[in-house]
Amino acid sequence: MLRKAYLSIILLTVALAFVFAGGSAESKSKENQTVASSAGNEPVTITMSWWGNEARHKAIKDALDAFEKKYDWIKVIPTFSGWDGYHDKLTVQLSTGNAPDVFAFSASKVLDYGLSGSLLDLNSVNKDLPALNSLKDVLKSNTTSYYAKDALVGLPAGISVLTIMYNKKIFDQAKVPYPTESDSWISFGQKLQAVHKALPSVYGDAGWFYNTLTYMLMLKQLGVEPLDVSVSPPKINLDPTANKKIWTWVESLWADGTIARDQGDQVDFKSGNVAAKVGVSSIYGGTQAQTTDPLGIVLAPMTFSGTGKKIALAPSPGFDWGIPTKTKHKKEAAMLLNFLLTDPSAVSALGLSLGVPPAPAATDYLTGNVYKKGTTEFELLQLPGSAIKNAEELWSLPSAQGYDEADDAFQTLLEGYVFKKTNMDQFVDLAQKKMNEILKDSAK
Amino acid sequence: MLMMDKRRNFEGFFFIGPWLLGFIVFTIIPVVVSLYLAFTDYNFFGKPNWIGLENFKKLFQSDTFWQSLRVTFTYAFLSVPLHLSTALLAAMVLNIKIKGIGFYRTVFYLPAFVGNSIGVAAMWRLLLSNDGAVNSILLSLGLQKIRFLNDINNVLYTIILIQVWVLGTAMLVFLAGLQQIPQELYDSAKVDGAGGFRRFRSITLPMLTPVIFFNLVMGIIGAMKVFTAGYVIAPKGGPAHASYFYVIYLYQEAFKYFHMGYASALAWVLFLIILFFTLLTFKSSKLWVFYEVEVKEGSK
Repeated sequence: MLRKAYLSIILLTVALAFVFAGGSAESKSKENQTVASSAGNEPVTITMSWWGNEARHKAIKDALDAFEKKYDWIKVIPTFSGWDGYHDKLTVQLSTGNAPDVFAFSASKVLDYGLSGSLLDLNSVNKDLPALNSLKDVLKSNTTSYYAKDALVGLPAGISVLTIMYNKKIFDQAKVPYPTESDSWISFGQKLQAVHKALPSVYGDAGWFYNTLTYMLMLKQLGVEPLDVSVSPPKINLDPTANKKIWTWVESLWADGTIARDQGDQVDFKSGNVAAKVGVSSIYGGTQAQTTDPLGIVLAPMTFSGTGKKIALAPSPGFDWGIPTKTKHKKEAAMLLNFLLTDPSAVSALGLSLGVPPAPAATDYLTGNVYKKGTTEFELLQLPGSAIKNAEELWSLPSAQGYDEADDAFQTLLEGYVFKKTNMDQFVDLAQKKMNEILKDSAK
Repeated sequence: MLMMDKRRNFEGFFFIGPWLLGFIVFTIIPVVVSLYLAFTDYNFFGKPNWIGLENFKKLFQSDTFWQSLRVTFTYAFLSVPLHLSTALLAAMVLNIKIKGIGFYRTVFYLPAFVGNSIGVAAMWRLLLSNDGAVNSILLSLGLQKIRFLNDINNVLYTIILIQVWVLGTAMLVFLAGLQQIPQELYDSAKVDGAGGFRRFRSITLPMLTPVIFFNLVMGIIGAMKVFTAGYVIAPKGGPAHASYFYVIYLYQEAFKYFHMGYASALAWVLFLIILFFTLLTFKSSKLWVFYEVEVKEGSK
C-alpha cells in the first residue's frame, strides 16, 4: 500500500517535470524562429510598460509593431494597464531589479526613483539615442521633470502645456466670445459667468481648483514663489494676501454657480453641462472622445488679473520614459526610445496620444503630413511653441522629495474647505503647515 | 513499529510540506521582517536603518493616524452589530421549514462569494455616485439627489449600509447554530405559554451566544481590516478623509509614499488594537456566553 503511494508520488513528479520541460522546449523553439528571421543579429527580447486608456494602448502598440518590423531581431513584450496601482507595481519592480527594460513613469517620481540609483543616466547611451541632441531645448526648459541631480533619468514621452479646452457650441449658444490667449484668469472667469448667466444649467468650468499646479501657477503670477527649493528643507509659501485674492475670486464663482463647489457634481464635457475645462493639453484626446460637440483649445491665462509679467507653465511631459539601471538590454532599450521619439512611422502611430511630440522634427512631420491647418490638432501642436514665444517667463514647479505626499495633503485639506469643514484662512494656514511638515520629514 | 511510525510521520510532513513551505515563506517570514522594519526607515530602495521607536512616536503625533482610527472605530462600532443582527434575522427566516428553502439559502449566501470583491465595490460606486442609477431614479421621481459618496457627512454611513448586504458566513454560522437548538425546549416553552418573543429571548438568544461570540470576534477583526469598501466605493478614503480607513492609510504609506518602515509600524499597532479587542471580547464572554454543558451542569 505504502509502496503504491510512493510510486504515485514519483510518477506525479516525473509527469510535472515533463510538463515544465515541455514548456521550456516550446519557448526555445520560438526563440529559434526569431533567429531565422533576423539578419545576423542575436535575437533580443525586451520588455516595456506604460499606463493609459485604450487609445494610448493602441497607439503605442502600433508604434511597437513598426519598431519590430524595422528591427526584426528585437521583440518587445508590452505590459500596460490603467493608472491605478501602476506606480505601486513599478516601485516594487525597480527596488527588486525586475523593472521592464523601458517604462513610463510620472515625472513627479523623478527624484524618488532617480536618487535611489534605479534609473539609468540616459546620457550614457547617447550613441543609441541620437534624439537627445534634438531634445536639448525641451530638457533645459523643465529640468526638474527629467534630471535627478545631474543625471538625465527621464525623457518626455510627449509635451503638454496648461490649456483651456472649451465647448464651442456652448459659447456660441450663450453668445459669449471664446477664451483667448490674452485672457487673464479674472477675464476668463467673467466669460464663464456670462455663459452660466445665459445658460443656467451649464457650469462654466469643471473645477480647475482641484489641479494644484494651476493654483501654484496663479500664486507665481501674483508674485509668490510657492515652493522654495534653495533652502533645506524645501519650503512651501502660500502667501495669505495672494491666497485671499485667489480664493475670494473662486468663492465668487462658487456663489453664483459658475463653477460647481463640489466636483462630485460630475461636470464634464460628457455630461454636456460644462463650458470649459482647465487641464494639460495631453488630455485633449480623451476629452475630445467624451463629446461630439466641437472643442477649442487655447493656452491657459498668463496673468491673474491682466497686470504684471506674463508667466506660463513651462511645457512639461505627460509622462517620462525611463530605462532601469539593471537592464541587460541598454542598447536595445535606447534604440526603442529613439525610435518612439523620432521615427516617422512611430510619430504618426502615436499622433497626439502622448501629447505633442517633444522632438521638433516629429512635430514638423505631424504638421506637414498628418494634421491639416485649421484643425484643433494642428492648433494643439502649436501650443508649446506659442507658450515659449509669448510668455515673458516660463515657470515650472521645482521638484522636492515628498512633494507628491504634500500635494495629497493639500487636496485633502482643500476638500475640507470645499465641504465647509474649514474656512479659507484655516485651510490655507493648515495646508502650508502640513505641506511643510511633510517636506521637512522627507528631507531627513 | 517504530519504523512504521517514522514512515507515517514522513508521509504526513511530505503531504503538509507544500502548505508548510508557503506558510513559512509567505506568512511567518514577512511577519518577522515587518516587525524588524517597523523600527527602521526602510523605503524600498535603500537599506533599512535602525531608528528605534521613531516610527511609533511619529505615528501617535499624526493627525491622519487618529483620523483613520476614528473612521475605522466608527465603522466597526456601527457595522458589526448591524451586520450581526441582519445576519441573525436572515438566518431565522431561512430556518423556517418551507418548500425550496435550499434555493433561498443559496441565494442569500451568494453575496458572500462576490460581496467584498473590487468589481462589486465598483458597482456600488456606479450605482451611488452623484450621476449614478439611484440618483437618476430619485430625480425622475421628482426628488432631490442624495450625495451618498460625495459628502463628508454621508460617505461613511453609506459604506456601512452597503456592507450589510453581505450576510454571508455570519448568516450561515447562525443558521447552523439555530439548527442545533433542541426543538423540545421550544415545545415545552409553548406548553408553558411562552410567546414568540419570549421564546426568542429566553431560548434562542442564550442558546446562540457561543455562535454570536464567534461571529462577534470575526466581525471585529474584519471591520478593523476593512479596505476595499473605502478605497473603491468612496474616492480613495475621501472626501476630506471622511472614509479614510486605517488600512487605506497603511497601504498609501507603504506603496504610494514608500514609507515601508512607518507602514510596518502601523500594521503592528493595528495588530495590537485587534488583539486588545479580541481579548476584551473573550474576557467579557464569561458574563454573557452560555455553553450547553453549563446549562446541563446547572440543572444537575
